[in-house]
Amino acid sequence: MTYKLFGIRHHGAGSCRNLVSALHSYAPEIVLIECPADAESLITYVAHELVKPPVAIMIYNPKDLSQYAYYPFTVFSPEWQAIQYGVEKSIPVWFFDLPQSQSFLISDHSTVTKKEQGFTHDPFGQMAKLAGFEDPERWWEEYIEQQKAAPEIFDTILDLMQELRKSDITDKRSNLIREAFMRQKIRAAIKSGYQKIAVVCGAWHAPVLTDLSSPGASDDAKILRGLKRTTAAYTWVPWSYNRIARHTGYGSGVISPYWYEALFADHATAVARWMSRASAFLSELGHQVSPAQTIESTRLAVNLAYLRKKAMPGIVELFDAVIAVHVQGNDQILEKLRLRLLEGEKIGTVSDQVPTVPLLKDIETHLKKTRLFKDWKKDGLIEKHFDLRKSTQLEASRLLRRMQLLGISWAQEKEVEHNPLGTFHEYWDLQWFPEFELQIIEASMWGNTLEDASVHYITHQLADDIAFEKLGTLLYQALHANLPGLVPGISKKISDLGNLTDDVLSLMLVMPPLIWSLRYGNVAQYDMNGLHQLIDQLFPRICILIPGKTTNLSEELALESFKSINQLHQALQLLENPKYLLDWTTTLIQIANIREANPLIKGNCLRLLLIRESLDESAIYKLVRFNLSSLLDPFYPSLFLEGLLYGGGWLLIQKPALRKIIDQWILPLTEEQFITFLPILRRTFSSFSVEEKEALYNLLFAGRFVEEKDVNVNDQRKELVLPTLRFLLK
Amino acid sequence: MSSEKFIRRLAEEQYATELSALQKEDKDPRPENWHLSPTQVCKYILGGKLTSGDEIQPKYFGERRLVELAVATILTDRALLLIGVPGTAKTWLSEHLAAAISGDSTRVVQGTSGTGEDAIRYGWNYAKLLQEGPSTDALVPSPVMRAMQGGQLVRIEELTRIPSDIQDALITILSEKNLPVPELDINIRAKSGFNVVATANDRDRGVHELSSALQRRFNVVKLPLPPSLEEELKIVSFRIDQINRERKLPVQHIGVDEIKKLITVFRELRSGQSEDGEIKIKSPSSTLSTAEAISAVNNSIILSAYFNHKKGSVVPIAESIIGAVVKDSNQDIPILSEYLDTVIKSRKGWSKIYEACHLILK
Repeated sequence: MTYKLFGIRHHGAGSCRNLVSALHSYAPEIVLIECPADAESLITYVAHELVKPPVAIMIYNPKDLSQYAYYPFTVFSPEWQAIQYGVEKSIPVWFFDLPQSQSFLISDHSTVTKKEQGFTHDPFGQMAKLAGFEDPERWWEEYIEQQKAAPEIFDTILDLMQELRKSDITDKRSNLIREAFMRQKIRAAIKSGYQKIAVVCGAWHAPVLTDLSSPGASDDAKILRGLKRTTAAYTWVPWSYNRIARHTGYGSGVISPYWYEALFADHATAVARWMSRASAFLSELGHQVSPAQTIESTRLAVNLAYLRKKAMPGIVELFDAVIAVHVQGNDQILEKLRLRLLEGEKIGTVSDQVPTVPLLKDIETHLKKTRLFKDWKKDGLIEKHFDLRKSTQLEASRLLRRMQLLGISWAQEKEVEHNPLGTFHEYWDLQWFPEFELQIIEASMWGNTLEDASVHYITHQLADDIAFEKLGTLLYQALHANLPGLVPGISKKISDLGNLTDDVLSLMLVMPPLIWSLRYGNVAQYDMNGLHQLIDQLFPRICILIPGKTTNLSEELALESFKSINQLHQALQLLENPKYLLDWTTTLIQIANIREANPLIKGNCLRLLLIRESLDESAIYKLVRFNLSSLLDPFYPSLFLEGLLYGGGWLLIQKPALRKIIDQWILPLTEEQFITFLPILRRTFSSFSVEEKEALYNLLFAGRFVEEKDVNVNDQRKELVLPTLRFLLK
Repeated sequence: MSSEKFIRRLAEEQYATELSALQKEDKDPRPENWHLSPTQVCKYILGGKLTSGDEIQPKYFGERRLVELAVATILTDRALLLIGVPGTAKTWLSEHLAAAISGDSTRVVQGTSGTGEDAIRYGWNYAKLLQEGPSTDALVPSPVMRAMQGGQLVRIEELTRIPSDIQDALITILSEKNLPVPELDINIRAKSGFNVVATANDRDRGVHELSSALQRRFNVVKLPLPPSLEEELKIVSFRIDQINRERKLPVQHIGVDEIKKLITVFRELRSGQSEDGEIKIKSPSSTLSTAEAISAVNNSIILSAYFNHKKGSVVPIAESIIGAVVKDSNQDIPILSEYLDTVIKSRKGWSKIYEACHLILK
């Protein structure tokens, strides 16, 4: 009987290549892999090719979801390849690390991420320093991962680790327990009669697994005796390259999944292949990249490695070469490249035959029904447009909203100005992250279906602390998610909190979604009486409170009130309640007359008043002139103008009097004054559309430069258009 | 050759001993016509220790990887383009690269809007041309052509100031390493070791942007401004020391603290914000790079040494700051006074400088 130790680094591409060839030459009868023993059943899904890396084993405690652990695998993870080897040769594969159900209770932190701690121990760092490296990761990278394949390296690694561990005096208790368990497992494998046993573990653990006689079986049994155990559930979840890059801290510039993938696939051509990929990315970003340039950057990377006395270019050299040859000092491209090339965007897949929590199943069923499943677990930003008149798309929108309510932020609705006529169109951005899987599992404590879970979750939230200003949107979302049962509860909460608060800004934030909801609810024929009362109760308070809250505002606060006033104004137009509109107009007039009121808000109020045709314009214009007259502080009039002309130039086009006022204000400015105003004026005027600018130009200069021409009309052709026009105008 | 009489010595003259020492201990393979191996070139530029224990002075203080990138580029036969805002040591670096690699930094084309093709390809000695007709004797080689013949580096300063059609004369030279002379039906072919190191200013990149054909033949290395006050102080003090020694200037009266203040002023005006990032500052029209800081400090040393300022007087430094910042008096004076009043006035330990500046500005 023999057993052989293969000390590796997790996600080490070089380790992985070495391991594959070493396993083939050793030809073991069984493979032991450092993964929690209780997750062993998950191997069958690998055997049936139901998971494709990057994926992770997720282990969680169903009774306490704060306890969970991920074990990510990529195609270049030695453990993954070891499993593959076992599957391919039809030999047993055992996971031989301490069961997670026990480690949950041992480690001081409830979260256990990948076990990289071995390398941060000091003796290792000391050795790296002696070799001239800042940290052991880099040393390992240089001497183990980047080297050409050398299966015999495992003996050297074992020797090295033996020396290093000798000088290491501190070890975590959890490590000792785990290693005792590992030894027991090796003993069990021997007992079962296997003649050749391959043991794949983190290099740090290898030395303590060499000698099974001291500590002996009974010593280890003593260590393991009495360990408590909790419940644990296991599943595969898709993982992504950029999570691997972050988790292993590529901060030191070491790990880049794509680079490792290239290294693992073929050491000799890795540089060229990585570079071609870089060129492909650049082309996608819209840069012309010729094959000649790809060759040049490959050569440059090789030369850089030579200068830096490295056997082959590493990720740092590759990246430097790309910068010099392709990027030409353009920082924006560089940033995009960094994300795509260093981290990569690959995401693994897990077949739906892999068991998981009922809630996830339910969500997936709904995703399929609404034809969103193809976008689930897709990388990158996906844009969606729904036409709510179509039932599938309406269901899709409801599904997304329910997920939002549950706190799974896969989808974000794009802000589109609320069309007063209402709209059947919705625009969404979808972006998937692997943590959603966990969030769904977490959320499964609230129910087994999406509907149940979201209702229970929100009800729970309402009983708990919840920010007042979010409640309006919550109610709106609940209605649109087709969960009208939630409305009374949310309404009550709004009423309770709204009567207490003096914060007019949050009141104003809550109001518009309430109004939208009311309209929507009426259309969808829900009972909206309660909501009506709520608005009746809150709206007068806003009108009373807001005039007092328009003075002495900071820039941000002013901008916020400005936005919420506009939003509320728009929402009120929707409601078409004459009493509200009258109250609101009175409030706006009140604000416009406060001398110390913030100029942005004041200008905005005047604008809103001007839009309402029924008012006495001369009084408004007087106020406009008054507010523009302050020339001492250039910011005042410019902010005022920004508010007054917000949303484009059409107001100027429609109101000749207003145009004249502005004209009369600008013309007498001295050159110096004009220059101080110019940038801020530009900010306002540049927001006008081209058509508006043209129209303005024509209006301003029509009398001065352009002579009205007699329009020459061809009568015959005119006749042709008239019927259609008449029809349209009817 | 005695170089004592010249105002400035060439890099290869000034550091002749360093270069020969580096050559002597050089064990790495040397590309053809290179005077040093690539590793030694890096050592020459970044500084380091010789095996004999002697020190090599650093010539460039920026990131090591940038220098390595530059050297590796030259090694690949691709042309090198150093870009950066004025005063980021582009020319300085290119001169030292040429000195270390070719042992000769004098093959230079200064790019201006008036640079003609004859500066890049060749010209004619018209007297001879008329007398003898076209012949190799009547040909006047450009620095580029000479560098090709000698297997050397040629430097092109301010590449983007050269009109685009003239720039493009470089394309054949860079891609085919060949310069045809159709009049004589001959080809001047570049020997190994030939390459182009060009510099270009980031700010007026738009003057004559490189054609994409030419751009593809360059690797670009962007030289940054010093990232921190300490870094910049190190560079300035090092250079000041060096200049003092070279020119045998009288003992310096300017303390490190004053230099630090000058650099702080430069950095703040340049970046448009105070060093702590809390106050927004308007930037003047002048370029206030490290190179300007060096010459301003130098200036104040000379002022204080020759014009009898009392020891410890801050007037010279104030003079130099104003001299460097105010290039356009209409624009820059208000900016500087505003800066003095809003930032400097309230700063602890700066009152002397504030007063001195204020007095001069009035």
